[in-house]
Amino acid sequence: MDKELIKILNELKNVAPDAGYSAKSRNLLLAEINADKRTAPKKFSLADILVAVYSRRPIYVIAATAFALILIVSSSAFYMINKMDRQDFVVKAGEVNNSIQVKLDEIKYLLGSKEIDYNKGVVIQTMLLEATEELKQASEESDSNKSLEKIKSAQETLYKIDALLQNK
Amino acid sequence: MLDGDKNLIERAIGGEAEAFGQLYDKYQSGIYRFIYLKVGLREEAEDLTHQVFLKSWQNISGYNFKGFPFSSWLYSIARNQVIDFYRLKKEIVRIESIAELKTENDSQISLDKKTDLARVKNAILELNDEQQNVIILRFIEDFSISETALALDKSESAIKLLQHRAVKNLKKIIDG
Repeated sequence: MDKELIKILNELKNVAPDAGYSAKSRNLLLAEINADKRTAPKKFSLADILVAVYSRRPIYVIAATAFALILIVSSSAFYMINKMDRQDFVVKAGEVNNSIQVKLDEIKYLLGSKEIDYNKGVVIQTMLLEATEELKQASEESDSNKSLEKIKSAQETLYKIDALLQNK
Repeated sequence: MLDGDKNLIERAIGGEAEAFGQLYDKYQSGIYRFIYLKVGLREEAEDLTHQVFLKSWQNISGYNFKGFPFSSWLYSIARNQVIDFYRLKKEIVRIESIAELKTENDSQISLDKKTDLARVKNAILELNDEQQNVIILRFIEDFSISETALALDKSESAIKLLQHRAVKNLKKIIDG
């Protein structure tokens, strides 16, 4: 192999992320891990979380709602998987749930890493609450098809939020 | 698998955040570099790198120690993350300049050298996915043939063949 090319490829070893980004990303990850540890054994109460943070800045409300959504997603998927006896519904619910989890992770990351202006914050907050309500209804719905529809609708809302956060 | 890694992974599985933080410190640069060289955009690479570590944390209890290095496991998550990135993005607009290519010893690198680095970086982006993986892991991350095979889920002979083709194509692209 050409020595000059090897030399240049070796130089690419020095490509490095920005130190500020690395520190921020590390802190966010550790905060997430610690939040997981604190909340894992607790029972979810959306109302408690919203009441606790509603008087604060919108960003906290958004972050808390996103966090609440993650818990709902986990519990609603569990509910659906246990409630539905037909294999195709279980698979569909699982797929949508995985997709929602991924999107929520992205939203949480973007919320922590970007400055959001007040108006956009209010829109995102409203959409998150909308998605929360859809997932809540999905878990209460006795008709499996309707339940799945509501979960998919919540998924759509989350994709819109993600697009908003990424300024698409 | 290094004993130090095993200890950190076990502690991370047990929920110790700082242990995962140390794994992050150890592997984050390599994962970022791998993603950046495949995506070519700094901000996207940062977001994707974060996602890789988030996913690895969420799935760390499923990590199997036997015969599969932790780094290989992380690179396989990174590979999938990049595949998803290209699947979801309709169009990638790369408008990064040479100045965007950040290196650890940035201030000591001449403009000529930076131009060479950017030229090779852009040539890597023109390779297909598998050839990119082999070039990055073998020549930039210094993985052995067997480590590369594990990370890319291929046989060692397949990696040797891929490497031969990747190098040939890379030189062809660079020479124009």
